[in-house]
Amino acid sequence: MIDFIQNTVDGVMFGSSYALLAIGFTIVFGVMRRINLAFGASIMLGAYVGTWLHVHYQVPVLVVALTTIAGTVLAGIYIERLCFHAVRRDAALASMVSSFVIWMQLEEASIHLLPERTYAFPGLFAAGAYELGPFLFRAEQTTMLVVAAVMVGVLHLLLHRTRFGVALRAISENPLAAAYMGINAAWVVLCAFALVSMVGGIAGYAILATDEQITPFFGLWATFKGLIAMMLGGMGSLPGAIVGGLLLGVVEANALWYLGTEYRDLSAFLLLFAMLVLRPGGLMGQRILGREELAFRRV
Amino acid sequence: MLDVRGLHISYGGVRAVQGVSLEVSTGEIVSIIGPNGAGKTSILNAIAGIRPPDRGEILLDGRAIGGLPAHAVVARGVMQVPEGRLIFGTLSVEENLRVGAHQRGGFILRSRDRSGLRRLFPALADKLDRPAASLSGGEAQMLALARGLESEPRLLLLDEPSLGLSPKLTEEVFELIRRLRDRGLTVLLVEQNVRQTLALADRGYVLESGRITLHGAAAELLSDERLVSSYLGVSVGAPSHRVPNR
Ligand SMILES: Nc1ncnc2c1ncn2[C@@H]1O[C@H](COP(=O)(O)OP(=O)(O)OP(=O)(O)O)[C@@H](O)[C@H]1O
Ligand SMILES: [Mg+2]
Repeated sequence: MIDFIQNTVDGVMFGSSYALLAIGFTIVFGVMRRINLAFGASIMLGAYVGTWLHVHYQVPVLVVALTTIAGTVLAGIYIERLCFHAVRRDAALASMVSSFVIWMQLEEASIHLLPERTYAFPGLFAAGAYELGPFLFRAEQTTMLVVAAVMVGVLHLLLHRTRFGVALRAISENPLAAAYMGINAAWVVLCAFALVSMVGGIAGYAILATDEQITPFFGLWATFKGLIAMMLGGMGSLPGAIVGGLLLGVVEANALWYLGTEYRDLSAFLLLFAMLVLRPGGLMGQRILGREELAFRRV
Repeated sequence: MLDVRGLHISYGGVRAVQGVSLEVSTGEIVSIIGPNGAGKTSILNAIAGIRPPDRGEILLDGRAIGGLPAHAVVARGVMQVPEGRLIFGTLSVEENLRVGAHQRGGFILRSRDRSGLRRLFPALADKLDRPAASLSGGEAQMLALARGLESEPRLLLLDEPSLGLSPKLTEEVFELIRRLRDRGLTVLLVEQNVRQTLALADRGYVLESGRITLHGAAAELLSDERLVSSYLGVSVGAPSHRVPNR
């Protein structure tokens, strides 16, 4: 029992980073009805630029963190311009395919920067752990949970208490009506990409700092985890992304403990498979799907 | 204020509007009436920048606005209340109003004094925190109007505001439009409800199959034999080409 609780605690902590990745996918899906496959690769590029500076110029850790975030934001804007802005709104497949191509391109760029192998990734402070009763908490993971909670809070305020946030939600519900209201959707969508890239960059830094290393598979990994967490929670749902991320983290942590390392990723796929069979809309996706249909009927 | 000249609009080769010209002066209620598919919405959408016209000029206070994107047109003081209301059901009533006021105010939303809203839309003022999806049809139309007014437009484009409303609610909406005009708002009103619309409007244009077939003072149109026979079904011998084609 104690093991299970410990695993669950670990899972929640790590799952909070999945939640942030899923938020990146879900916000873009909510507003564009598209999946940005290059999201993970954009984080990877940012992190590689940060690592490159660290390897070659020994820049301070804070600079690595900021570079990771800034690099991700720039890559995110690049993706938006190339795959989502330039491609017509109704050409959903074209923009998905082009975001896949950009994924490859960004990974290629990262690997050109630092030849293919594993590099150490610096954390903001030394790893450590503390005990509370029978449970052990790792400092970096606790930091990750706190960072994720703060980010979710900030995002919630942004979406509900600012002009930008309400406009973003309006576009997500009905782009035509939003256009009538004088919302410049192109601009709002670009800002949304910059925003989720910032969230992704912060999540990416936190994950890599916890792992203390970066590999050329990070882009693929981040895209997988974020997509699975989003699908679990329900596409386009912000609370769904959080619940999906935490659920994925908890299931993975328990699979890792009870079944072994090789079952960690397998459990994630099995979980997704079960969800798609039992509840295809995801945990909180039902309402979203209904709304989507409604939008089609209206326009 | 608004001057539309020789407007042509087509959808993939199908001509919807063919050489429409119309004028709206400051402080007027001008109506466009016509059957389904006549091209009324297409004209409003062209003015509002939702879909640029193929040809023709749209002048606002003498300056060309044809082809500008919708947000630039809204910035010039033109707001359309779209057909079918298109309120944001997942947002609260208050948030819907915020979207209407999108081009005004700062980044952070501050609480607003809603006494003005209470005066014009008492039913909405008590439901600000409710999701807009929970409103009745009449309330939804009121919200669509209130939301449009939040942009503080000079020219309001209304696309069939009485659509789907009971006669009593329609009367309420029209009364509201009258009050807005009396406060100095200019209104271009698209309707199928001929009698009530012409009773309210100063001038009217009759649109049929993308062409203006009749225009003049509303009172004159109301007494026009041809119009009354084709739309109000008073006369039995309405010419067949006037029967709406959809
Ligand atoms: N998006 C579109 N694609 C293709 N054809 C369209 C489109 N929108 C309108 N049309 C056609 O253009 C013509 C005019 O349509 P419009 O919506 O402007 O008419 P309307 O007078 O507003 O009709 P209603 O009273 O039904 O709203 C119609 O024949 C319609 O079928
Ligand atoms: Mg119409």
